Amino acid sequence: MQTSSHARRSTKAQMKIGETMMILVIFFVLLVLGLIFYIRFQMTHIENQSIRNAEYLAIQTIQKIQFLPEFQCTIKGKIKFNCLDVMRAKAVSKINAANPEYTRIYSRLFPQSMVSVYRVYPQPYGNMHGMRIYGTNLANNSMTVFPVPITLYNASSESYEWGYLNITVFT
Amino acid sequence: MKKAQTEIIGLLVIVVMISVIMLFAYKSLFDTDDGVLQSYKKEDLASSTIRSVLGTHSGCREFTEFQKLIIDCVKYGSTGSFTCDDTSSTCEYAQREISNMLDKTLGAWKYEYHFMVIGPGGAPVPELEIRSDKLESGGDVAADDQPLNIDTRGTQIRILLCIGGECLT
Repeated sequence: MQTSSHARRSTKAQMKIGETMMILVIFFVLLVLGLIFYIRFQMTHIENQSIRNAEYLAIQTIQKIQFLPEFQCTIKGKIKFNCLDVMRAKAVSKINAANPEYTRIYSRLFPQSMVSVYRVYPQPYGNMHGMRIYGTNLANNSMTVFPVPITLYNASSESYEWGYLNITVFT
Repeated sequence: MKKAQTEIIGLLVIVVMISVIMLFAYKSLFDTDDGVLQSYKKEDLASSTIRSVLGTHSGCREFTEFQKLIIDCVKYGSTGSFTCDDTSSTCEYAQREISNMLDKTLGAWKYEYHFMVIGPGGAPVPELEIRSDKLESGGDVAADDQPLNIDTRGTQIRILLCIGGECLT
């Protein structure tokens, strides 16, 4: 009689343990699923944040270029805004290519960036890739491209042409 | 601890967990930083496009900027006060070439745009209106409105470029 009561109590306790175990298993499965979801969401968020940072960097780069004397159009001492002096830009590009020291200075001004000029009007440049002013093309990296229309002053013909600055920020 | 109290604690834990999940979902769904940046990009694009186009030599005649063509078109109507080297009127030339320029840039970058000039009386100048192929009204439109003096008395016209939809004047 006593043995039978003891056995019944033991079975009940086993069932309780089983129930608790099941609850714990379900709880941990849910916890792991939640963690996976959270990590994936955070990764997407970090990617978006990095794209956003690249866009901010591109905006900063554009603003810096427009106010750098080596790119500005100055006619009789007057600065013309939204204008890039193509001859000066070409000179900067050549100097950069020849002197790595200058490249280092520009890399601090335009970090992780490539700056190119494209002419649209009256005729596009022969080179479809435009004229690169600064930077190397890190094609394997992900990038954010930010084009800004600009007047291009050509001092040799004294004409104002039209095109855009292409700021590529690599992340 | 009584069984009922244990149950209540369990329920509380569930309520707290659901609240945390809902807060998290709300934060992820209504993250608006991107919108500000996109809007800035479009506004910056619109203003730099207008300013740069106005200062560009048109090729209508030697050293004639688009700004001069637009002013001539507004002041003297569709015939203009002079014709370009290719015999087209200032209005025709400005409309054709600006349309071409915008199509090669904004159009190629998949932006919808609407360019218009508002005359001194406040009415749009139909000869200088340019619309992208697919243009819808409403939506997230960023605009730049550039005033331009057309004479020494201070008479002004307005140059508008709207990106992302139609300009509402």
